[in-house]
Amino acid sequence: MIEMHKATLTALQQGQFVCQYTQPELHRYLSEEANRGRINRDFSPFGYEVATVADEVYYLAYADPSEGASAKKIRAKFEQYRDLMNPVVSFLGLLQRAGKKTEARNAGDRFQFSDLLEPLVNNPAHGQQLDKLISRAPFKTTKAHPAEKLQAVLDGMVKLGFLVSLNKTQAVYVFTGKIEHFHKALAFIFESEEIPLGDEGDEGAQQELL
Amino acid sequence: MTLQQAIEALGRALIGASADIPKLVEDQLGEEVQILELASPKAWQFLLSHQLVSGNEDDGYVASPLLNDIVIALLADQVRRKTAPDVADWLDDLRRAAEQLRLAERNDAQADVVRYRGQVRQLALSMTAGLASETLELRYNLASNFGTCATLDEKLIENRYLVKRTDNLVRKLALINNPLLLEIAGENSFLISQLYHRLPPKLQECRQEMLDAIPRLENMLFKFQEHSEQAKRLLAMERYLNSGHLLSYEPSEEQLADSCFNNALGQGESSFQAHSGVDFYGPHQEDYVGIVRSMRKPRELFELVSKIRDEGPVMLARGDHEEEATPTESVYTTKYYDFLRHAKHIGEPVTVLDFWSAQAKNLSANAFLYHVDTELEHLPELTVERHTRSGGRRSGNTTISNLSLHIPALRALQSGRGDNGH
Repeated sequence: MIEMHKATLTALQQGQFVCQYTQPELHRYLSEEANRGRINRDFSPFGYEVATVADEVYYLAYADPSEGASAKKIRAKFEQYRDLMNPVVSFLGLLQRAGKKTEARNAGDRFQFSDLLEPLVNNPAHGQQLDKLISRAPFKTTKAHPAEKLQAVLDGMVKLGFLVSLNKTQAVYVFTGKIEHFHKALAFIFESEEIPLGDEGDEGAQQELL
Repeated sequence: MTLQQAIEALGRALIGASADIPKLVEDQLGEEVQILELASPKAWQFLLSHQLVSGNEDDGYVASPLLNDIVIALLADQVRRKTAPDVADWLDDLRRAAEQLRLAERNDAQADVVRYRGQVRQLALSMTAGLASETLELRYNLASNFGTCATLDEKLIENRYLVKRTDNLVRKLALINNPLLLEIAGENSFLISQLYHRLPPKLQECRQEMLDAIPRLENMLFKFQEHSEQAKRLLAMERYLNSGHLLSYEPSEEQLADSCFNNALGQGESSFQAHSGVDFYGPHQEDYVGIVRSMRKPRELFELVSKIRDEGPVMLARGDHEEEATPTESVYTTKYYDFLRHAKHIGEPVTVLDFWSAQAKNLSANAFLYHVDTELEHLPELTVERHTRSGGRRSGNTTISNLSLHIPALRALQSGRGDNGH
């Protein structure tokens, strides 16, 4: 119990997003309200508290976000996410189309490297999108082979904490709880920018044409 | 296929344990065929020989307990693939069967008694098996996130239907209460046993499970709706960005304060521990928290602790150093801090080898000694005595054999600083 408490404090104070796919034991520990209370009590003197997105993922937040220094850091975090919006959204969109899925990816959703590579190789439109993806941070690479390009993108997503590699040999990837945090950030920016939702039917038709 | 052929086929199927049995029985029940209406002596002989019926040509034939069990089992299998019957219709059927049973008993019509008892059993079974089937389906869908549905849209439709269906069923099941069942059963012992003693516990169990499932289904529906919104937003955002728009909105501080961007630290960033100088990990956690909470900071102690955190290879505190630390280094670093805490706790000289002997014996004591020695060189204010192989103090490149550290007790330090008023 004490070890778990220490490990949880460590993970949170390192800025990790704790979810059941990255740290199942810590996630289980944080899922208990009493344990969260104990963690919050320990962080409280330093002005931090545990935050969550729908209990899927837990992370450390400022207890008083309006305080000057905290507000500045929160704005920096917002800008960081805003910069990530384009590449990550492009990747998720590509994944959705290549996998012929209509739904967005959520925590726990998994896919295999080979399943994603095949449509990227066989569909020139998907291939072009992959090329576009690797031309910018955080996926930037000069690799030429489709498999290497895709690997660079997936490595970028892993580094950002949105994916974990479950099985190295079969290259199975699973979305972490942090993707829920990303969806929340996306919703915030989406509403702030007043982006029209549009007709997804048109989008589907366009993709079919592509 | 005639009735006689069907029964003969049933017999053959039973003998051969054929998979055709459910189909045959379903066909018969679907046509409302009564087994007792059979007229072929050959068929009766066949059924008699397999103990599926009892009786004789003169007195008539009745279904044997074996046949009843088979029919009920097959019926249950059939019902399991269906939903529970409509409660109002079911109650009407039950009332009718109970009345007919009472009439048959009054008239001492044994064949009818057997038939209507069978009907009552079947009605009770159709309800309990139907409810069991529905609760099973609920359980499966809750556990698998509607795993049988291929798309999110299908999940949404199925989930909405199930919320409505379960909610309706729970409300209707409330109509089947004990006073009503007792009223239908009257003073008939068979009906009391079937309807009053056996049925209510099963109904109550299923109803409770459904009641418990409703909020979970609603929660799941909310999630599916949220996922659907996410998919739409994702595509719209991609379209928006691809069309050359830039994200330029600058939210106010109030908006940001309530947002998910209130994320104190990102992965790989320096942790606050390095500059807060606070140790969460040791047995003195309460002492440190207590210092921050209740007293003015004893500056020298604070600086000392900060220095320990800052100048060592702070594996836990600095995300950007994480990848460089090997597991063994991590153990030595952790043990090094444990050693410092131990020394602080004891308040008297402690040697590295004494400390190590009680710790990780599977790792090299010399390596740990070297690690501690290197780290402590950054903390000249601590009282460290190094012993060489020959027993003397270290000088130049002489190899040390042990090292003792003396840190005055934490509380003594605190009270010392408190006297200074800092």
